[in-house]
Amino acid sequence: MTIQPTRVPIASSVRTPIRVVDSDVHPVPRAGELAPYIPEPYRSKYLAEPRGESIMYDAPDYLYAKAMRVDTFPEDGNFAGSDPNLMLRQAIVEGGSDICVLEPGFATHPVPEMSQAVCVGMNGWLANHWLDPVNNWHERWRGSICVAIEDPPGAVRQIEEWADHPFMAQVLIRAEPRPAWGAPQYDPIWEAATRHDIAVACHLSRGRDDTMPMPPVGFPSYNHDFMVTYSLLAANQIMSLIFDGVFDRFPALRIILVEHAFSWILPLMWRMDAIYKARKSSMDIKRKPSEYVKEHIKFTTQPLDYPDDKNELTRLFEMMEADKVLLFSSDYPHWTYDDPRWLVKHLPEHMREAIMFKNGIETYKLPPTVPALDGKTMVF
Amino acid sequence: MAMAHSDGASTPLIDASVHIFFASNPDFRSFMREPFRSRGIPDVLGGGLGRPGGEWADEAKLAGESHPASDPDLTGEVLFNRRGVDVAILHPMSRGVLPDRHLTSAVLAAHNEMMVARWLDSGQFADRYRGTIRVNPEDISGALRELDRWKGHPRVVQIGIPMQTREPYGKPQYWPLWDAAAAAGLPVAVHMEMGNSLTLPPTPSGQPRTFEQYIGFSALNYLYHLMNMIAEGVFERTPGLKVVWADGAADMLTPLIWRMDTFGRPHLEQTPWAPRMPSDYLPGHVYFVQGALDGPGDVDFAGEWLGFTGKDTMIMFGSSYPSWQLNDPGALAGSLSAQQRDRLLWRNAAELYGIEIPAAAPSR
Repeated sequence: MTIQPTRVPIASSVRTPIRVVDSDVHPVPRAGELAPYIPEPYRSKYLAEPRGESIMYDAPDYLYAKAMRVDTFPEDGNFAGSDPNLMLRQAIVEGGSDICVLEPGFATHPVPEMSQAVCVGMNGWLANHWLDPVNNWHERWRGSICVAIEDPPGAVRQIEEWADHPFMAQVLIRAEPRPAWGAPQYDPIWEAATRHDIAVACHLSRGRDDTMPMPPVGFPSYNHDFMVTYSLLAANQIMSLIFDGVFDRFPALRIILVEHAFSWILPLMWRMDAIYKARKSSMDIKRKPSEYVKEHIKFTTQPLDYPDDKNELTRLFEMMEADKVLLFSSDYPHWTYDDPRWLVKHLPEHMREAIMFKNGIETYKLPPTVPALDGKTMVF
Repeated sequence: MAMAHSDGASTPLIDASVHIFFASNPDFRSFMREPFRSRGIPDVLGGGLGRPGGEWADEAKLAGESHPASDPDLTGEVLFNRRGVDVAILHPMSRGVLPDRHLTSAVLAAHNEMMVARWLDSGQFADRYRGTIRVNPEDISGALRELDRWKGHPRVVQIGIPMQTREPYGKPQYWPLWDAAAAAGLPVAVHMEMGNSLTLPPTPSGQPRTFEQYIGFSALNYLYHLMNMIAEGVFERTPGLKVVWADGAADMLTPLIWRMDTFGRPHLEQTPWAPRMPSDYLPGHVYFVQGALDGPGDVDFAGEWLGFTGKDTMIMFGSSYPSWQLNDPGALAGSLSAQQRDRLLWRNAAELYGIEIPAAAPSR
């Protein structure tokens, strides 16, 4: 049975405990909705004319599905993820998430200030079209302060402007700009985020032309090898954060790596610890690298990768102490959507509450309850 | 000489990665011919960030040797008499990928001549050494000529190519080299070059700020190559191809191949030339030299982890002598089974390289 939620809460006094925090959900502006929020001169100069399709490394059936779940396109002809009511029904009422952390995709532009202009637009748009009282009456949307880290002063301005918004839950950066995050030019961003006690999430965002992630040995051929090796970009960012001392400079900094996969962090922790053991005398950091990971970094569960023998996956969760580092995510409305009811079954029972909601509540500083919704799926 | 273990067993020991060098630049030039001999060529060290603390292990700084691992007898004394090695696979370390492909090929040919003349054909330990022939994958016809020249040598057991490339190793320009290597029955070892090299930035985020990040990432580059080779169907079209990832990091294979399998199936229509599950292409095709930085260390699940993805049939002990990353065969985790230990210390390498070891009986 499908319940069509209305905009009237069942009873504002009835609240229900948060049991699923979804760390990766993608809202998209409807046609024409974003442009008014983009500041001049960029809006008129470079962003007024529509840009064509930029896809490289296409997911299967791209022409028809656009890398989306095909049932997530609203009937008005706009793109998947553009209708808050449809998302409420599919991701929350049917899917079963209690909180959705919204992560708009923002394109990369060759000029840092232009990338920032798009982020400025995204933030204003998200606040007015998703996090506003009309669309967030159910208090289940949380927003991301989009920032272009290649423009640190502009990024800091965005954090200052939005950090106190009651429904902005994190800062969102892209993984692709070079150099890596340990470079001192980004310190003002980490400083602003920690001063506001807000986590910094990073979603993979691809790019255009040479702003695509650039492997040291040349470019992959297909979406298959491209997406699988995308994790190495995040692995390198982690080594940069730790070896360049970012967590020593900003002990309160919290990083969330969204959709970069996660099982590789186990051997990467071993590798970093082995490097530290062998080369401590020429390194400036204070602790074992794996300790920084467990204290400062979270990973989202989607995509969940596993072998034929899923017992090995269970053992991996134990070996990596997954309850310390994972946050549930679905990736709605993308074609790679992980249903929370499917995901939770893979988690060792004693880790389920931590990964499905407790870590999320702590990371995003969420309240323990949200207004109840009639007919909503109970995940576990 | 066998290696004794704390549980009373003893096993043979094959060192699958010993790096060898010229004694000096004049020595190197003496193996080159004009017009290349007078060219400007980078030294074997000098790329990237430099190495705080130096490049060489203390154990490899020998009196009487002007460059570590340049003298076959002195090096053999360390390997065979002190470190308990039975057979050592030599991998000449060269300058990097140079812009002029003809020059790169000439530089590599000099390394091959030196290795065969000094290490495989003479000296007191010649019968304990096996060699890696260096070829230039940016000069395929030159690489095929070099391979033809040496493939019949009884102690040449593999070819060696750089990890650094401008396109990953699944791309079709490399296919003739894979076909030739498979036809010659020689595995292909891929290793990071040491000297200055014409490359893309060494990490996907550009230049790292520390040597530790550089070294942490460099071995991981094999994953770009391997996943590209699988997606391009290289192992399907060249079933005899065997690849050795000689910088280690086999522990990263498990998560990435899980991802390749899980994410990959819907992409089959884009790559119909690689119809099997990606992990099916690993056995018999993919091998690793164990790196000193590989996890998980001496923990109770080390043997279990080694079994995931069948890594225990892929990894070969290698010391990387004379590098600072000198790997110690005595540091294996105690939780490995006797069979896993056998495989890692000698059996995988003996099977891959066709090395017969008199002591190759079961170790228990």
